[in-house]
Amino acid sequence: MTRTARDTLILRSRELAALYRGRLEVLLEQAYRLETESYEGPDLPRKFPEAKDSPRGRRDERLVAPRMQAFTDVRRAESYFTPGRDGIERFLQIADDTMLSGSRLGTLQQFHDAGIAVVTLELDRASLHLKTAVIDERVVITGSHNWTSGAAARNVEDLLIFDSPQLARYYTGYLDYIAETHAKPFAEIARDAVDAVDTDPMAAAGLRRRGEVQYPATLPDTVPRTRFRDVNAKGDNEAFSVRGHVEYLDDDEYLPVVREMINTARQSILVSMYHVAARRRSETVHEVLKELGDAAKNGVYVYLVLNMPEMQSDSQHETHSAIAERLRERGVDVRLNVPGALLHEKVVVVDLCKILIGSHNWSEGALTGDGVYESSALLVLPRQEPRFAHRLVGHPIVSDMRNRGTWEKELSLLRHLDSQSTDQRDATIIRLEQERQP
Amino acid sequence: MKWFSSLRRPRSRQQTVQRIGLAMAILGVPVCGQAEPDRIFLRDGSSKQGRVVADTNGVYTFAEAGGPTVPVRRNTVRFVVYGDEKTVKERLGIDAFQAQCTDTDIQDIRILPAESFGAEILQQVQSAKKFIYMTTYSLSGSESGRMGEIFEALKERAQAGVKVYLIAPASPRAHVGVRIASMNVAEKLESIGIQVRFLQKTKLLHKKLVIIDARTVLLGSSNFSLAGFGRNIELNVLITAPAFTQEAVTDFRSLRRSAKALHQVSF
Repeated sequence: MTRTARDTLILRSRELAALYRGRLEVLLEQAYRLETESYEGPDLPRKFPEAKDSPRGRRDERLVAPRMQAFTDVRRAESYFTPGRDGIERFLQIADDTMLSGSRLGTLQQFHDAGIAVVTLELDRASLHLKTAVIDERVVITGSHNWTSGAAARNVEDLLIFDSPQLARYYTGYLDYIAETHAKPFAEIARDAVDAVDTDPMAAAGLRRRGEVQYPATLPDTVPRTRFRDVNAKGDNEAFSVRGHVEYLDDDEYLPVVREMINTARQSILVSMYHVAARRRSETVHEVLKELGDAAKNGVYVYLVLNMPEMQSDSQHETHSAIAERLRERGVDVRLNVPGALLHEKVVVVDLCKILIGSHNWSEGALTGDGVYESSALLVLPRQEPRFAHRLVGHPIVSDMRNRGTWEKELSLLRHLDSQSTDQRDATIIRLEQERQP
Repeated sequence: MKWFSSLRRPRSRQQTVQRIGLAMAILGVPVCGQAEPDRIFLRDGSSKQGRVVADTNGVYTFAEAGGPTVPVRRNTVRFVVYGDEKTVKERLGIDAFQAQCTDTDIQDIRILPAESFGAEILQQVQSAKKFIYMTTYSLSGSESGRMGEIFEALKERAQAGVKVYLIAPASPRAHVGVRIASMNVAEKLESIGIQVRFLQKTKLLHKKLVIIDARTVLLGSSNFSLAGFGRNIELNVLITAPAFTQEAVTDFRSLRRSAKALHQVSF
């Protein structure tokens, strides 16, 4: 299964079509008209790929008799899904693995504690996008409506409820297929998220993503976190003065300078960057990252600290984790900022005397000058300034960078702590620090 | 032994000076013009003081104060902080980068994290006499804390006759929330005498720039927001170099020529 878990229904019903048309016309009156005259970008795709048949069964093209309800009452929604309701033989919840982070982890824990079998979709390139329930082999609920108060009270959503054993059988087969083939039980993952481990946690949890790698011995040691208080505390955050030569670099003037700095570095390259884009088409960024790796191979100490977003579902999490994995294999000391303390700076310090500070992220549009207007300053100092190193190395960062499994676990734990109330967090911290006493 | 015997018979005055310097370095004695020792910071967390005698082929030849000369492999080192400018110039290749700088004189540069940046902007705005140019990616309408103080200062300066111009993005690439927030704030700013313009091109305005009277430039990563002036990890600079400032002014004026007023923006 390589695509997102979703459903497509073709319903032939004049009554339903009239209902949707009426609702959409109301929305159209309220919406802003989009002006496209000033758009200078490439043409938008004119044809979207058609949905193909799902792995099991066929699209049901026969007429079904749906009843559409405007589902705005949260209590009514909850009445369908009260955990532990008497007489229920089977209650399976499939969640996306993004729910394992932050406050959502607690929600899954509640379902699990109530005796509901919880599994999470674990696929690298797909997510669970369904908002679907099947009840008593008869009722099917689906639509755009997530099970959130925002969806119930604030959003424009649709939710369809079908009274159809045939449709229920089809959906049951589909959901069982997902649960059996592409999902992991919740209990294992929840345990891993909070327990300290001495050996490879990814192997222990059966969640190894790739073969283990041996990082170059010259990288500084990283260790499991033992301190959980004030993890967001900023390091050296005071203003200071230096003296040197300066040059204003705008847009594409930045790229040749940063590449020359990297390629001629003698001792150290320190980079603190809010965003590094590494999509397939980001060729320029890939070249710069490759040059960082080359510098590390030549013995230069290369340190790159990247922002980690508050939510694991933010695409920056995956992008920066993948960069960390790839560059650490090449000897670059990549670190990840603790989520919650937004690392927004864009700083490059080479040999503690050649510095770039400004607005340039390492994205294709910023580095080529094609997509973004940026301004940065080049500083060339006659005396090295170690304070830049104190600052960049002193940011609040993830402690356990031994491998992707360990830093993903620490990030999940930190996000979970961040989502807790003060009392809950204090209690969890005390327990964790006791468990991890050296 | 051969080295010691050759020391007795220097072939030239220059060679004599070099050998005396090497001997003093080995002994850890500061040589003329070198007020501070060199410091090596190793990747295992330790550090040493002394003199880096040579840096060749991936190896530092290091004379620790009062100790022997030892080789230190580059891939065990994080930083070497040289004690004098001459060594920095010789070994770290700063000439090539210095040559790219239009201002030939050494300048004072302030390095400003988020909170100090906000404080500095306020001070600079209050001192403006002719114009204040600003660009930002995102603009907060908050009137609390530092943002409130800066808006009050901008208002006061605008009323005193200082030209206050701000450019924000209206590109389709800008997050829709950012665009909407900026446009809402624009009306308020216009009412207090600040001219707001929007750059509505596909190329996104991401610069964070403040120019005061063509004499002072503040730029960096901080947007005009409470987070940019407070809780985020940001880094900015304050520079007063003439050529640097002039380039920033030219850049701003070029953008302003293609920017639109609020009522001209199609959204």
